[in-house]
Amino acid sequence: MKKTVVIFVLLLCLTATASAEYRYNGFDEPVATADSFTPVKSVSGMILGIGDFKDPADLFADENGLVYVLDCGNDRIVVLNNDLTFNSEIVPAEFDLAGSGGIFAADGLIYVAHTEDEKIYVINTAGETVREISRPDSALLGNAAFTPVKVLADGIGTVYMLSANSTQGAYMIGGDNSFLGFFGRNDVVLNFRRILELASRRFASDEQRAKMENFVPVEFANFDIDSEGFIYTVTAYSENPEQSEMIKKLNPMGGNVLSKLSSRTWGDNPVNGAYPTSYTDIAVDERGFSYALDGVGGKIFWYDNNLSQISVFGGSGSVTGTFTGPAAIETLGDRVLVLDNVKNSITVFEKTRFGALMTDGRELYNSGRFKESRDIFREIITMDPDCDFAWGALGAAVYEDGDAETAKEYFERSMTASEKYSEVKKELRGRWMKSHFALIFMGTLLLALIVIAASKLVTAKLKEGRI
Amino acid sequence: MQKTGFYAGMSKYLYPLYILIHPVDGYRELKNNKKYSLTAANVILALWVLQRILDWGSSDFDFKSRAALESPVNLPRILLTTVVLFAIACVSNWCFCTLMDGKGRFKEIWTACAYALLPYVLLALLKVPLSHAMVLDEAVFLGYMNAIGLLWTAFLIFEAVYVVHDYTVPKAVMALALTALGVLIIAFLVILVTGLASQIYSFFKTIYFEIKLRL
Repeated sequence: MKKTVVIFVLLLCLTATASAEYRYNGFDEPVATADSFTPVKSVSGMILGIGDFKDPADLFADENGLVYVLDCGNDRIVVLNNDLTFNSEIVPAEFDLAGSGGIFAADGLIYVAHTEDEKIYVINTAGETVREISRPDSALLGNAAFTPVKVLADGIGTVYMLSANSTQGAYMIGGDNSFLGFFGRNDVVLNFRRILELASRRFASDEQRAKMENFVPVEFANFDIDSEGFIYTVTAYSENPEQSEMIKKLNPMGGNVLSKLSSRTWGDNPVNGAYPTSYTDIAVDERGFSYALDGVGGKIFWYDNNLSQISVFGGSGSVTGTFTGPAAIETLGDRVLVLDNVKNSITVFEKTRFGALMTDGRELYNSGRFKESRDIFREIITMDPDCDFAWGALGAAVYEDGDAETAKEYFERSMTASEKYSEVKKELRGRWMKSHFALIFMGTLLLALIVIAASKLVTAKLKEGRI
Repeated sequence: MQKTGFYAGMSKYLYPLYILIHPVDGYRELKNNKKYSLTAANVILALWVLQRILDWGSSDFDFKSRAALESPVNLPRILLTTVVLFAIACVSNWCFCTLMDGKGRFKEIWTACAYALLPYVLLALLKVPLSHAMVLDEAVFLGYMNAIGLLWTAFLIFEAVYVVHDYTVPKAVMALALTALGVLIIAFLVILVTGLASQIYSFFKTIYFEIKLRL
């Protein structure tokens, strides 16, 4: 009896912690959806036969499909094959990995951001240091901190670095280790309270001013670079997820290419009682879809190549597919890898058929090939009948085909595509008016005559006092 | 009966239409010559309810509210925000104006205020078929229509209170403000009483079940 109760309770816990994927509908409310990603396995050092990971800080998948795990506590970089089997182990010869924060690999070189040494080491696969970047001597840098946390390099040899205790954005370092400038800093959100405080600062004495709060931009938590050279940054904290730039897509000039005008809610919508999302890492796959990892709740926010949110999966817990210490996220083809530095393991998510359909469909839709995406969205609707994006896309496809009546119906099904619905309605109204011009003309004339006659009659009767 | 003006012989059922275009003369006539009809007033209120039902159920998709998109017609909610609200406002107005030397009787207040709703109700009724012909770009016209209806109704309500109670302008404004306050007080009392009543009900229900289960 006791045993069955224990088993039952265990089962209950399992079902309670296993998270369900959800998406936000057009009214910004979370609703359940079909799973796009499913956790298939969890890889730990013990499973690989090389001893458990210890304080793994970061994870990186390079263009050849090799995965690098920055295993700080064991002073090694573990290289995994594309199928997540053990490949090799790199031990740097000239420095200790303990105290490093980020790893990046390209063209056979491995970049390690070493926070404690305040240096970026570039090593080759044998572990020999080939380049060492320490604090550049530059007037541009001023008194900004230089404590590398994360690092990446672009195709033309510029190294980008995120520093702890710095609000200036990313640091750009050239091929000759010189400082090229800061890159893509966040803005300070100007709200009413701050305007008031700025105004009061004008009347404050120097001593009072020194005690006042400084408005500094929120620092980047992490970044990633896509195949086209755009850098995606995430921010852990935000006062207002709707206005702020918790996720930014930066062009090589450091400007955010996402329009500030379109309102986006990054992370969970706090109106619905969700705790505020705190991004810790972002990964962009080859097709431009991005995955932002929430460092507190272990949720993974999936965005399409226009950075509009598709769905949210993962969660906090100890079951495979949920996390206790989510630290880093990477993509490997259609798979998503998440490094957990409390469980000391890498969780592998695989795309389901629904996820694959969603990817193909959104990709076609976002490039304007509505008709080609139709069959895909038809199938998506059989799996998630209330998917407003799918209904809107179907409407667009049917409309492109010239079937405005059905398009109107589909836009109505999507619940939130009222503007597109209106567009179609306008078109249909124009068509109707063209084809019924004679009727409308005569009808208006007739109506005017009737109104005139009726008003004359009524006035006459009123004069006689008969109504 | 004294007969004045061009429309003096007009049937009292059509009289709201006269007030619609001649509010000042119309209300004076209504007060002095008792040209009010409870039937006409209730028809206008019924039209108001009908308008809300039609708006909820048959407005076109792009002009529907979120509630109307997601749930079928909610008659209690509609009644509460139309007829019940109107009744509370009339009671509140009657209470305050009786204290403030108003000359209006309850029936007069009820009919005069219902007549005042006519422009709003008519324009709002027109909005339902228009929503099928118009698109979101032209929604601003419907907005103007709504605003005109509301302003007209507001003016008529002021005129109604002003004439029916035989007030001066500042006193009429005062009376309207107090009426609004009164509506809030009545709503508060209603909520309080229903809350208490349900508690008393559940108290006696508990006692009943307690006794029943013990016997």
